[in-house]
Amino acid sequence: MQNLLLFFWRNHFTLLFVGLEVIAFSLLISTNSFHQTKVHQWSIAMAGQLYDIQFACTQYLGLSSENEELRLTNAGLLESKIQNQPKNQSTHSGFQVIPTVAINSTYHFDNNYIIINTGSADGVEPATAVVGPKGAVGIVHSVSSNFASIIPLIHSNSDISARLKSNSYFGQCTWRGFNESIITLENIPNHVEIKSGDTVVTRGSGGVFPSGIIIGFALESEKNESSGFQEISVELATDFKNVHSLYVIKNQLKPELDSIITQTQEWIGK
Amino acid sequence: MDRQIITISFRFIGLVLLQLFILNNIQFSSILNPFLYVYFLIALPVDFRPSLALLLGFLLGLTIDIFCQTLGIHTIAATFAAFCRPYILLYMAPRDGYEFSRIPSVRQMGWLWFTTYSGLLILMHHLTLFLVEMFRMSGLMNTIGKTFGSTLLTLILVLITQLIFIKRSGSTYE
Repeated sequence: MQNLLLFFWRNHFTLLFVGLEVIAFSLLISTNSFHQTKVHQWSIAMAGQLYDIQFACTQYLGLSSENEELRLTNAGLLESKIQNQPKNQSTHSGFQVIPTVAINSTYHFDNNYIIINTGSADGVEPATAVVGPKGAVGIVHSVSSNFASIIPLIHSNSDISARLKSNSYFGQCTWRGFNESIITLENIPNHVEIKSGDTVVTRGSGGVFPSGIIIGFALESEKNESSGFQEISVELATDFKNVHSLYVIKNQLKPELDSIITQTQEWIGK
Repeated sequence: MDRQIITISFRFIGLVLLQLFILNNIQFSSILNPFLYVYFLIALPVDFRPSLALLLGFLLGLTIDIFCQTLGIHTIAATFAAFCRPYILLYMAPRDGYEFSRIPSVRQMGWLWFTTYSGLLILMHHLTLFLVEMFRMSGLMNTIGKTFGSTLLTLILVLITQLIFIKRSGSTYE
């Protein structure tokens, strides 16, 4: 205590000076609007720089949760996009979109698969569609409570009904193997002229995929004179070597559609 | 001592009035603003207590500020000048030290000493004043030009004041 007082006494001149200048500066800043504005500008500029640095350091930490949020937002947007399509394109409202992430996938086999980290607990059901950010990916095959397996378009049993976006001629998409970026569209009549780059989209006839989801873009067509149908090789929109963010699309009206299709087929069969 | 208090009080009031009613109303030029009130600090006795000088400098600046509507600017500058005063005196000390109760003046200390001493003190005061007034780094050359121009003018006024009082040798208003 004595030392402290001694310190104050020895430096009383400097301390007094500092004290008086502090009073003078507070007077200056509290009464002169120009100086006040300047101080505010400085403090804002400095705080801004500081927060910039802080943001640069911490933005990576929240990246995964941010991704999760974006995925949810995207799912919502996708849902409204599907439901806002024109009625005459055989779409049904009642599609539910569930965001998910591929945790395991293959592309170099004949029968490839993708595993996603959502399952029945999240509302995923077998035979629901899976799309990626760029286009169609596949169909859910089996579901556990927290995971689900997908049969991607590049699977030897994959068979998706597709149509040309420009003129609505429809056919079946199958995969012949070998190349994970090429799929074949069959059953398009020979007289339909295919231009390279024509968009191939899902037809939505089975009620699994919504109508109009991009599958890929036509590369070339091979006309078969004996059958009257051509085979179109389609470059897939989705890069199956790199699948990550996915969306499961559940058609809540599918049971209803299935029952009417079954009834119709029975009636035709009779 | 009592005489000293009276002298200082009169000089304080006289300089403030001179600054407010005459010098502040004279527009020499945009870069020449004399602030003669610093003469109060210049003319304090050499052995005047530094901390008391500091308080008086603060009070002087505050008084000028109150009447100039520039609260803070002159207070900061005058306090800083009062803070510098003992160090300038120490730097300027003659080889065998100051005689007891010397008063800085041309008559007692000589022209060269007095001009250097007042010049340094005025420069410190004006530099602080104009820097605080500008309050930004852009236009720094302008501020420095203003500082040196005004310092010169104030110094001339201080020397004129000395000339006026040097004739009345023995006056209490030294």
